[in-house]
Amino acid sequence: MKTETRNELIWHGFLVVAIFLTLWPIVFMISTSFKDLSQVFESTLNPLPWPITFDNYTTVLGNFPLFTYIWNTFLIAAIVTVSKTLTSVLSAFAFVYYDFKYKESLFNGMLLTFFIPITVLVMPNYLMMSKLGLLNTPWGVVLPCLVDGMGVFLMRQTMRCVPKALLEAAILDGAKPRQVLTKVIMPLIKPALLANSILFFINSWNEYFWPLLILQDKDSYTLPLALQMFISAEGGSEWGIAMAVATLTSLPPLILYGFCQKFIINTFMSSGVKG
Amino acid sequence: MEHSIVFSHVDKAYGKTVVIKDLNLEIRRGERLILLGPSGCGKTTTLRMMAGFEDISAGELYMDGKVVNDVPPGERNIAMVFQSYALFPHLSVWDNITFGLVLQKLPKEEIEKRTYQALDILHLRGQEHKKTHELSGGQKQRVALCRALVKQSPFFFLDEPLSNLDAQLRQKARTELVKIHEMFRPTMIYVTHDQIEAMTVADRIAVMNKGKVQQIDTPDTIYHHPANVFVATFIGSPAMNVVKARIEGTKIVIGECAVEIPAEWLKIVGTRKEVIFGLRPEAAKPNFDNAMVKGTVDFLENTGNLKTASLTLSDGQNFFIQDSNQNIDLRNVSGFDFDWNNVNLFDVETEMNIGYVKE
Repeated sequence: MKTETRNELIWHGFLVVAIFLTLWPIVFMISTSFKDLSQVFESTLNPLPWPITFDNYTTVLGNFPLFTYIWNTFLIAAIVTVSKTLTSVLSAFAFVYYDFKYKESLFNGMLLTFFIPITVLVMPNYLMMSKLGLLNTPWGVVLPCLVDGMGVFLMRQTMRCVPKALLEAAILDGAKPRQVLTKVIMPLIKPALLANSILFFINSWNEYFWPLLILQDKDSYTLPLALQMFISAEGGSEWGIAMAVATLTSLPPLILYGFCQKFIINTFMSSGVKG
Repeated sequence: MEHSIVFSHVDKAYGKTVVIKDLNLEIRRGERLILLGPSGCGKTTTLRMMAGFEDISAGELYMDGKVVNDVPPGERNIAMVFQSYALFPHLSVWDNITFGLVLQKLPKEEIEKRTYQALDILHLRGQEHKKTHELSGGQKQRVALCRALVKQSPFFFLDEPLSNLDAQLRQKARTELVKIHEMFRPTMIYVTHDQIEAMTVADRIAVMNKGKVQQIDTPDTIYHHPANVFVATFIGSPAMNVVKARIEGTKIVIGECAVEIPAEWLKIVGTRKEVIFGLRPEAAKPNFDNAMVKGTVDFLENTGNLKTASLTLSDGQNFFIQDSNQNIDLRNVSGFDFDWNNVNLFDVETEMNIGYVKE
């Protein structure tokens, strides 16, 4: 056997394992959501349940305030996404476009923020929210998540790829800094901007730990918290229902991604000297 | 003073690296001034200071008679063509051209009038709805020109605008540029390292080297009477011959060959014992038996319209001679003759032109 073919086989084998490991939990989640409790324990690893039951979904949609939880989660994710995107773009623009004192030190300082582990931040943040009287409100969840150093960093790297001559051409034509940002930079970095926003949204959508600390009232729960209500530590977990909720939970980010995907096409960055 | 640009003792430094030192330059209204020099000579920096993209470290820059050191680029009323063209890739040709006019909030009819006029001048009619990446290199260059044209600014800056075009397109674009300038007569400053571009486009050329203007004059004067050895050897292809020569009494010794110096030149030479003798290759007339300056042929070059021979003089210095006569064979040349009207003499120490006899 040629080395090339053998290498290819090894790689493909590796990829098949990787794909299986990635997809199996999802297949397992979806199939379990169509099983009743006895089937769950009888055929745990069987991905194709028979007969299929929709009871889990009717229970979820009927007796369970699913839409309240979706709305709670969406509201938090939307505010966080908009805020993080906006602040990332504006501060990255400042770092790229303006010259000011201590620019590099400020940027490096900002980079340091994402080396601080969340476990260190939890206590002070919790105390702060508590002092502000924001426990058990969406604002308490949102407030510490409004800005993101990683976002600033990524946006700055992207903006630096916009050729300087483009900015200068716009400035010479009388564009104010705001117009340089909105009319030249933003259209050019749109794909990266959208990809970033989607990441912000999905991260916030799936966030479990921080909302768990802040939100105590069941009505204010987000979806990941609601999910946990069906899994009890003492046994008697409603696996089918939990998986039905999990399936429904993963739908909105998926739809969002599908919707945005067509905008994430590679636009031409350089003005193109070559004909 | 209107629409003129004056540099008065301008310095430019990046930290401790001084790139431009005591620049004095006066650009007249409506002229085509070319900033010419090798890369790194400060010509682009000079242009960018005028555009306002580079701070001025010391001295004053006047535009329209006013000091503009601290005036932001957008308020200087400049149209500029960038080397990379700097077309906005997300906009159509039309939106690229009208970008500045829309920002200025000009009335719609005015914008359309100017844009159609510019599109017609540059033969871009029918291309206005294309995206810039659908255009050829030459078209992109013309769109960039169009965008500068519609602003109708009194100042028109070009930073190596033709360097990305192939040779044939470049020549066409050159004539086009001059034609457009004649139409509107803005004060035009054009940066290039291409001497042919400089010679053909310029009213005046400012030759720069190491952050200093070496000479600023008409292309003719720059070519025939370069101010110093740098200018003499930078312009022309092959460049002007510059060889060391001794003065012995009333004779100049070039490559061990003594030539009588005319009386009026003797005054200019003065008491110097040594000079640098400068002569353009095409001013050295090939001689086949009894040349004024003798030399042996090293190699020949034939470019079709011109024949070039590289000679080695008796003292080992190299000398190029050029002739357009197709019927002679430079292989058998014994040396060259010259006419004193074509001679430039430079000081050995300062390398400056020591003067010439005015006809």
